Amino acid sequence: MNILEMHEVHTFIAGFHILEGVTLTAEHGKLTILLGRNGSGKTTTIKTIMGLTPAGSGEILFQGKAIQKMHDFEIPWLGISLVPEGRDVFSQLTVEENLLIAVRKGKNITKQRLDYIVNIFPPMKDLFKKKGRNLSGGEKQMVAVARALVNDDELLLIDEPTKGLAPIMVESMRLALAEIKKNATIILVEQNFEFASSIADDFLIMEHGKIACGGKIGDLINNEEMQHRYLGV
Amino acid sequence: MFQSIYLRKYCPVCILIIILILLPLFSSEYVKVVAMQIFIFGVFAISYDILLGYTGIASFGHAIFFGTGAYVTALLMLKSGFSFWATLPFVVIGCAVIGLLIGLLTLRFATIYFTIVTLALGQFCYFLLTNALTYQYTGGDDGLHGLPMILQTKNQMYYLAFAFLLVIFFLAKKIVSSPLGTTLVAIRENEFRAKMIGYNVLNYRLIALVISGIMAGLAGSMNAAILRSVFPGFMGAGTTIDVILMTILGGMGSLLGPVIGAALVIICQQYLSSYFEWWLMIFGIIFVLVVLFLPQGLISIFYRFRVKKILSRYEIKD
Amino acid sequence: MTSQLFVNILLSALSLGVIYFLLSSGFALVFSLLRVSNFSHGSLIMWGAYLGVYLVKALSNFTLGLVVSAVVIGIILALVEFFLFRRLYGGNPLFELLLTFGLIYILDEAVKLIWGAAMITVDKPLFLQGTVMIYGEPFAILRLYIFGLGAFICAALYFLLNKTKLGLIITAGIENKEMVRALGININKVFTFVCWLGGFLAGIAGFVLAFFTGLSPEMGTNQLLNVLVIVVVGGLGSFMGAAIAAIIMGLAEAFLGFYLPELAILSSFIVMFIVLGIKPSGLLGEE
Repeated sequence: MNILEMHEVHTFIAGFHILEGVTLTAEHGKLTILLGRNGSGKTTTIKTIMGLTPAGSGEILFQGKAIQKMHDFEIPWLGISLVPEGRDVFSQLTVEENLLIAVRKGKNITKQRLDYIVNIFPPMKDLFKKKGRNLSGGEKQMVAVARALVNDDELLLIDEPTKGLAPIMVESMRLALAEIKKNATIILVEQNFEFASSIADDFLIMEHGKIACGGKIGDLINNEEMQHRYLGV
Repeated sequence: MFQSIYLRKYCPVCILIIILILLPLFSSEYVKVVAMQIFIFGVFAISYDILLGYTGIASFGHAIFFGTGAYVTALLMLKSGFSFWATLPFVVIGCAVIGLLIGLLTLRFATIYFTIVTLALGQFCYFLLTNALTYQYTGGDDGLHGLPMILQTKNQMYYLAFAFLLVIFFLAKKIVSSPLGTTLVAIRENEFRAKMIGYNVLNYRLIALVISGIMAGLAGSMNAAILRSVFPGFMGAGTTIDVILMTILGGMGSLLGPVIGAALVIICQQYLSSYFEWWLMIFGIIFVLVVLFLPQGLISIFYRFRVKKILSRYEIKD
Repeated sequence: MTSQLFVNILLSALSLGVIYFLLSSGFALVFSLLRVSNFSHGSLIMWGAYLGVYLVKALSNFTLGLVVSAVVIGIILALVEFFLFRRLYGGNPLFELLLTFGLIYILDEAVKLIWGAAMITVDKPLFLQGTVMIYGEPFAILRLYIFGLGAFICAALYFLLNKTKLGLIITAGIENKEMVRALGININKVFTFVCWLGGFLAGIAGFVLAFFTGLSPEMGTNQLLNVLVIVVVGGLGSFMGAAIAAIIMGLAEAFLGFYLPELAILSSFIVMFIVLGIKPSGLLGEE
């Protein structure tokens, strides 16, 4: 069953044609990685799903429901969370407040949920009172992912979580994603192929604002020609 | 066909110029004075348009230049016995220096800072003029009066002011279509990109501010010569506000628009204010509507209409 | 200078600073979140004064009149945000500025139509008349009241911005609006609320100002420059910076007024040039 489908989605930003007909599906419960070179439209695809750069045409279905016409602030309520590319942890707020602000109106963050998050990111438990601006890059990334976990959403969109991280932080992020994967569907944008291929189920490769190919990750790992052609590995 | 478009484009302007040339022959003194004010504020508005419309920076202290020009001319004529024309080089140099100083002081700030700091500078200059310490030179709130006539008759003054407007208009046209002008527009459209290409954005803005300042200063001198008096109000926020209204209502970034705006604002001030007590409110409403729905000003209605007409006449096809 | 005199000047400096804080807080708040420099803030202050004085008389209740008028002024700015600002978001910030500039005419002329253009003096209510002795010097009760009001509003704003979810959203929105929307928050509603609050603060400030300047259509726009200078000195976008700058302005004006009275009118400019010369982004502004 597909949790997310996109059909011929075109997105324009400031007059530039960024997505030129993206068609993709993401299977429920799986981790799908979105690969591709810089500027191929990966981040825009994620933002278009979230409604932050609204689709000019085409259709986006989340659990069978068309969402491309919804407001950006309505889409998360369906059960979609975003971990953006720049992490975007609020620097003036403490870590605790960064999590609190993500809790949707009328809901409360349970002790259980907090334990679950701390279980995934053990270093978090010492960070709660720290301000966002005082965090290291790795800590910010943890908070950004944790912030997307507070609502127990069906679908997580994670944009380049390993960008600029030290190898040891990349490894702990890998373990964390492997844990999160058990309870949620993930679409992961990644440049680091080695990292991505170790945890993914499915893959999609973008080129020039379109999906060039996709399939099971095993096929890509065994196909060096394809890796070379699209990823320059 | 292109010649014909050309003719059509300039025909209304030519008719207008002819009407304005003939105007003094059959109009009252009052109408002439109003027309001269329109010419001078037209120049002032053109200078503001170079800054706001083409360079994209909103100064709220533009009257500093207008006031400087007026006071430099008045002081040199009254206290040192200079002729009007001999004061102009001093006006140009003075306004250029002030422009450089203000620019170096404020242009490094983000746009909104620039707006606020220039507003404060304008008030600062106004206070300097009206201060007790400078009273003996500037005449304080009373201003300076009794400047000698620079030409014999009112009609000659009228033609001088009109020629002044035409000269500055065509000069400004040349400037905005020169490489300098197109660079200014490029910076306005995308400052980041212009920086990346290697333009020194600060320098270009500085040049624009100086050019605009000199033009505004000349308008101020001319105003002093025509009214034969200067008032601290020339330097006040009210004068800046007038020029903003003219530029926005007429249409910024078009040079002709601000002149039309100047005519509109001055005619309204002269005629409407005596009929309606609350005309300023209508003015405010029109201003808000223009900002919301006609960001290119009232002149854009005319342009749209005319482009359609020309297109429909010749049915230009791909 | 005797210490008594010093204390006296200090107290008036501080109360002046508090008035400046009240005058500029609404502007700073709206600017920090919406990035709209609301030039009509002065006119809203003036409306707050006229409406407040009118309502206190009409309702014959000081506090009720003040609060109702401030709420109404807030609603004016909220409506302006909802119907006008909203059309311009994402475009050139210049147009928002020009829009608020045009509003000055509408608001000022409306006051002239309703209450006339002539200056109206305002009598202090009985409980604010008279003086108390502080450190052997008389001190006006009105100024004490203003201290109290300023402290209360400062504390209330601090609580709102730092201790409530709404405050978190405002603080986060100042930094990154897109991420706030991506968290499922309708930030447009927050914009409208912040404009209401900015107008509310302008309303209160105007009412207080009326006791010092009386009512006149220019009373608000006369303060606009002070407000802008304070916000720039504090650092555009920094609410705390504006509060500190307001106190500094009060101190500068009161002490310069004592030592060099002829320069007192220029005190705000002097402070501005010094601060911006040292730190162009203002006291607490981000670089």
